[in-house]
Amino acid sequence: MSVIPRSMTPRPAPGLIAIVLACCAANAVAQDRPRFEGTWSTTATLRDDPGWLTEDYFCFFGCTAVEYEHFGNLLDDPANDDRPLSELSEEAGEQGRLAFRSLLTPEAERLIQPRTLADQLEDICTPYGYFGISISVMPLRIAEEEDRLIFDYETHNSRRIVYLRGSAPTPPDVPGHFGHSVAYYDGDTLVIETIGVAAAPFYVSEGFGLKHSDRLTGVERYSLSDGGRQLDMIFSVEDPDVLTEPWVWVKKWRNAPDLELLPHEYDCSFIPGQR
Amino acid sequence: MSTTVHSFPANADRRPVVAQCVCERRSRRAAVGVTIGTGLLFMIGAGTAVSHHSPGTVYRIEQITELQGTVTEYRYNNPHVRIHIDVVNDNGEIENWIAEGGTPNILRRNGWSSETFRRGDPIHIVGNPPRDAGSLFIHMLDVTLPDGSTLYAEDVQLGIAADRRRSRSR
Repeated sequence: MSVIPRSMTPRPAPGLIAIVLACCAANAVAQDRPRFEGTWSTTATLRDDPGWLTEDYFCFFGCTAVEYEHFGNLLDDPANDDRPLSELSEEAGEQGRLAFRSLLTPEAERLIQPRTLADQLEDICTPYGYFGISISVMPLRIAEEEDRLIFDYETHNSRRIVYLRGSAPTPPDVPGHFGHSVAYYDGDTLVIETIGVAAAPFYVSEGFGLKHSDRLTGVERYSLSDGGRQLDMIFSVEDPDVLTEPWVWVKKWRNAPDLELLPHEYDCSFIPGQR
Repeated sequence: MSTTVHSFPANADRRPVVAQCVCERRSRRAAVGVTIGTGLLFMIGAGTAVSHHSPGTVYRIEQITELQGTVTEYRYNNPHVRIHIDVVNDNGEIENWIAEGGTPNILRRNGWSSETFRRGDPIHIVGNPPRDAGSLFIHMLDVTLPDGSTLYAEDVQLGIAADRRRSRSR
């Protein structure tokens, strides 16, 4: 029998109960949602993983959604069984390039030009910006912290800090290399929205040497599949100076817990095809 | 910020296909040039359509050349490895070729190291010839070491993609 009168029993205020319940609910959601932490690899550094599809070996740098889907459809069609993969890849790539051209503003269309060796030399030691790093070939390691995600890319030893919504600082006044990224969870999907990216080349041949402007915005949507062994990204960028509609890319990584990120330093005296 | 969402294509199985190649050899004294038709194109190049420095700009990725020679220098640096080799041409003259391969950060995970080649090593290289027929460059795909083992020399081994395709059944 309690010796404490009922009137003296500590009773939490209703407001406090509501706060505690809300915290517990939020914590439960946080524990239930997928964890994106870990080291992730493209076909370049995890060649034999059974999860790769044929087209993944061609899209190790990512592919536009149009190209990836078209490639898959070509492979699915028995009429193409005797055609070499290179031919199918070229056809899919051409579809992707045509689709990209159809997205360009008239001003951007006038600026496109074939990639030249000089362009490539200029690129060779220029660290990737936001667009290039998001689809880079080398492994990616993701760490989740209370208020942010840390994306470590082996390419150029790059690190992106992605703040969780509600914890993000005020965006910088000046556009930056990787921009200002804020993430939230949409069900099981990790969504990262990025603004404030400095104008830079797209760094892909589909970009025809085009630079995006500092009005570029991007949305990465990451989800897990195959029991957490695969990381899928749908990457959409918009730029009112260059694109009339979003340009969408897809990329896949497989989980590679034994893969360590290596230092990635460049010998900038290298010139392809030159002594 | 609006987003267009696309789904990944279904992972449908595919029927097996055997890639075909038509080869035409032309002999050299110690170097062997081989021109291959479209069949082996899957090996490289076409799949690197999105690379930021595509080998297709400098090399004829639709052709294959083989070189037999002796290592004179080995540079194991990013962005691409290079092996300099002395090759005896049809006239009996020594030519110093440069073979370019993939990036050490990837090759290291596939058996390469800074010690893989030494000056004087006899090696055999399979790769793409340069667009400039007068230059002595080759884009390496495979290199055979003195002990007979072969290393793949590019970032992604697209031959695996062909194997996967063959192993599928609809």
